[in-house]
Amino acid sequence: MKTSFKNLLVASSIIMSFQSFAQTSSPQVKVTEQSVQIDLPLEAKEALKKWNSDFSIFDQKNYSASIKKLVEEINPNSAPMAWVADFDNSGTLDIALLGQAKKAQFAIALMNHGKTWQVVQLERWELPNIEKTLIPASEEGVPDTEKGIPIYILPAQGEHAEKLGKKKGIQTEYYLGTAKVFEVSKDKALQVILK
Amino acid sequence: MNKMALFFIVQVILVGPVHFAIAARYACGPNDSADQCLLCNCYHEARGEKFDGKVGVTKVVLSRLEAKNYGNSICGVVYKKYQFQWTAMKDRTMVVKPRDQKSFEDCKEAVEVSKKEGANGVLYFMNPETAATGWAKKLKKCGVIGRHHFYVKSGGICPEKLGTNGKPSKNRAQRVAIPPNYSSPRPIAKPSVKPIAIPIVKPISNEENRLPRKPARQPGKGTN
Repeated sequence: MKTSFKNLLVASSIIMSFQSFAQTSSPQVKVTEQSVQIDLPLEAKEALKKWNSDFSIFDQKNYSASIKKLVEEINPNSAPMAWVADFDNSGTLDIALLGQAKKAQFAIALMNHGKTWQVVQLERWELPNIEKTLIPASEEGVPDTEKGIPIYILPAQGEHAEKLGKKKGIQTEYYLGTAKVFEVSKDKALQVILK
Repeated sequence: MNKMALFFIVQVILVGPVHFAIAARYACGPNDSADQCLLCNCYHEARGEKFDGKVGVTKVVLSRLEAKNYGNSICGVVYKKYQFQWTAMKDRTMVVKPRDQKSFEDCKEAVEVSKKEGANGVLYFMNPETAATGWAKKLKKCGVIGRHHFYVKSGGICPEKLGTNGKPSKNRAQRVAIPPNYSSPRPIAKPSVKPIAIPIVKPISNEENRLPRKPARQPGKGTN
């Protein structure tokens, strides 16, 4: 009885240490009511810095309530500027991020190759004072009063998602404006258009 | 020289200019006339659509102008950043190939019809083949024409018909809130469109002219 209890303890500690290792090598997005915490492995941070040292991920507080609610409804436990998934179906978790560097905004995918990470640029916008963009109300008769960042990330929807199979498509949207779906394959971004 | 290679070169010299010369090109930009901005938007967004789809897309621009939050001129609405995908392209030129000629003419007519009938309150459309936008869930869907899904704001009123309704507005003021620089109604293509000059390479010798010419492509229906 004692031996089996010891074995159980050893096994659980091994599992816990493995989980701990796995956590440090995978990106995480922790969403609470107040904030979003994005944890990146050290190698991912280095790859990001190497790609563009000015790049900073958007802050949740700069998003309007409408956009936060929309993203929450479509992709629970995710944030408008960060989404963790295995985009290329490689068995490791990658992360899509939205942020700003100097005057331009970028959507990128940080692709996980185990010990190395690769930044793949998906899209680029140029929106001055992006945090102060007027967000149109989606309800008739309601004045446009909300301000905030109008761009966000979602998982590919509907037929795009079906077409990509086990891969995860990344959809970038401008609220009530343009949208595109990207597939990341061999560290390259390809726009997915159904025809 | 290899006979086949020589034949190929001669074909390029003889047929190439015909092929490229028949594709008319029209520049599009935010400083164009209002008519031209509507035409460019119709052609880029809806050239593969039927006439009603072209009218539907054009009326969205007019409705946005009327709503006032999307720009204070037709061109301002069309070229507002990240609203219409094609405006972000480096090359916004309308390339009208023979097969697109009918669609181009339809767009000109769609612009005229839309101006006569006026805005219909529809503010958004999306093409699910490009992306099934998440924001569409927040709006009220009015219907589909071809590949485009049309929306009004939640709680808004959809028009009876998304495309042409066959009812020209009697009162000009009811049609569109027309800004002072609105240039209507006048022909669109000739005065405001500047075709881009395309150099035509002439055959280099009479000898090559005797070789069989590939027949020029016949104009057909719209694209896509």
